[in-house]
Amino acid sequence: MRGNPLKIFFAVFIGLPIVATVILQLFGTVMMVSVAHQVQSGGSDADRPVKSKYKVDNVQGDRSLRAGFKALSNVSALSEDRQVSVSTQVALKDLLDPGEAKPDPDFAHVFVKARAPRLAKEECARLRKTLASECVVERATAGKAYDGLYRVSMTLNFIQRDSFGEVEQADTHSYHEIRERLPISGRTIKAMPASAGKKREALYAEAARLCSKLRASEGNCAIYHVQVSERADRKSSAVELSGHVRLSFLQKSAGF
Amino acid sequence: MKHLGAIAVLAASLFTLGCAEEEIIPQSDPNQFLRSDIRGFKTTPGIAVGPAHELHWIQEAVQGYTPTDFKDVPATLNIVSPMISCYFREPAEGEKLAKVYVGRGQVRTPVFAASKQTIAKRVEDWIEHYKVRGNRVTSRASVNSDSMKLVDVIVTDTSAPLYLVLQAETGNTLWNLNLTEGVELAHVAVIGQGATGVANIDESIPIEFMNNQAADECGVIPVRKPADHWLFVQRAKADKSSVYKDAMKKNKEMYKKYATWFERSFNVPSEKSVIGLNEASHFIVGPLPETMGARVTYKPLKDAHVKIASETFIIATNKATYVKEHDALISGHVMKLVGGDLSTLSTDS
Repeated sequence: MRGNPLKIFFAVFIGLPIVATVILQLFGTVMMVSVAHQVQSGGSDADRPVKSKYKVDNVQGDRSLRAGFKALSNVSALSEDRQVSVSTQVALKDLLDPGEAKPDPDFAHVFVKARAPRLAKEECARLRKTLASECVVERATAGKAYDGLYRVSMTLNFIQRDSFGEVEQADTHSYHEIRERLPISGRTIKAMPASAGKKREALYAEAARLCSKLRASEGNCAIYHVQVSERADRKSSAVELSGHVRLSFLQKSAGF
Repeated sequence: MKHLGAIAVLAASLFTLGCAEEEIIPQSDPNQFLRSDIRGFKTTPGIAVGPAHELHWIQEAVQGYTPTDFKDVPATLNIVSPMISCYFREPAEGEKLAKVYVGRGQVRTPVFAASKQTIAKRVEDWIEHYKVRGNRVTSRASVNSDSMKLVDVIVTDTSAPLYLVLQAETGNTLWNLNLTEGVELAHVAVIGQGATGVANIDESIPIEFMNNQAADECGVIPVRKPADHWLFVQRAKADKSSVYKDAMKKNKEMYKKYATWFERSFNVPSEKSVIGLNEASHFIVGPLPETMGARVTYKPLKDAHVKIASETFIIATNKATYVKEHDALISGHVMKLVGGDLSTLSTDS
């Protein structure tokens, strides 16, 4: 490149920054428009576009689109944005097949890890009975807990069984999330480890009822996260269950 | 640079091997192969360690020395139970205590050992991998870590019946005894972590092992007294951070605990007259032979009889068979844990 040094100086230090600034501003404008029509999400789903037929003005979270919005935008597909997280406490004996001997103590925690996917599939069956039309296991693992119990953690993705509902016609909508404790009474539920599955099933059913109630009043509702955890009751051999459900829905924006 | 010493020693050994009829001792000073290590000094295979870190060529102490390799499969493995008590039998009157210590051995052998905990961890890794990948996993066998490391002990002290204490800080140590004529071994006490064995020991010599569960329950971990020549100690002095300070405190506590146990067990301090190095392959207990002809003929691991304190998985074989046997063991555990059906590990509903 031959030329006046002064021209080169202006080109590099003045011209280039101006061009870069203009490009960035244009890019920003395009992105803002795109949020309303076809929103790009961040995080693990960063590169996956979320298409929504609704124009919504408050769905951007700290780093990405809110999970609940992504979940309601595509209610008929399995998604990592719609999940059930369960942390349960199990006794080793409850995982044995009929007539199966206990594993060597050094292999006990590995045994529970090996049986964790089986438990997660059973949990999917509970979800299908209560709130899901489809369910897949995303992850199932285990570790030692207390008093001879083992903690099994599982993450399940699901499609909700009940329909999303109706969204009132409007130019723009506002997005809402609700978090409710499970059970809704706020009290923990006690159960023996072997029967805790039935109690969890009841909590899932409660989550589905809460969503139905919301659908009745707001027209629509999506369950996008259910979390249930158990901890050992130090005074007995029972476990205590508690959790929460996160629901999302759309409303016609006020003032439009 | 790091391997120059080993190459020089190997070259010297090969040169010596080439002159099998007239074994030649390398002329260079073996002390040049003493190096500082994290927890003491280290040297390379081919160099034997005497008292006070005095180094000698292995050929000065034995004749017919050949470096051990994976072809040197022993004749028998005799699995013995480790002791139950926390203390060895005390040295009797007239017995002379000889203490040998190694942080870790260097020479890999075709004796492979893995503890139940190690196997359980490998089974766990296999299962977790399968859950994610959904296919069979590559071998979890580890030649490096499972291969027991050979440490030669050349005993030349004929001054009194010897009570030999063999101490290894890390696991999988296989001691190989070479006794000069006239040596009387009254008792052998072996302390270590993981698999611990002794090769070429006469059946008549009483031997006790303390490792694994017994060592854990008794809190016995052979640890040397931190000294200024340790790189770890030097770093701790140079770097005043709490990480080094805490680590140094922990090391001192571990040493104190071991020293207390040792003195109670053998009635002498652990550090007194100990022959040891953090990393080495040969030790000499007693004086160097006065003449070439007085040297003991080296007893190799090949075709030796070996006593090993129990481990879950022990096998003396070539590398390929070790991997095959190891993987069969892992697969057997996996199938048992999944109730005979690998598809239960799948997350597909």
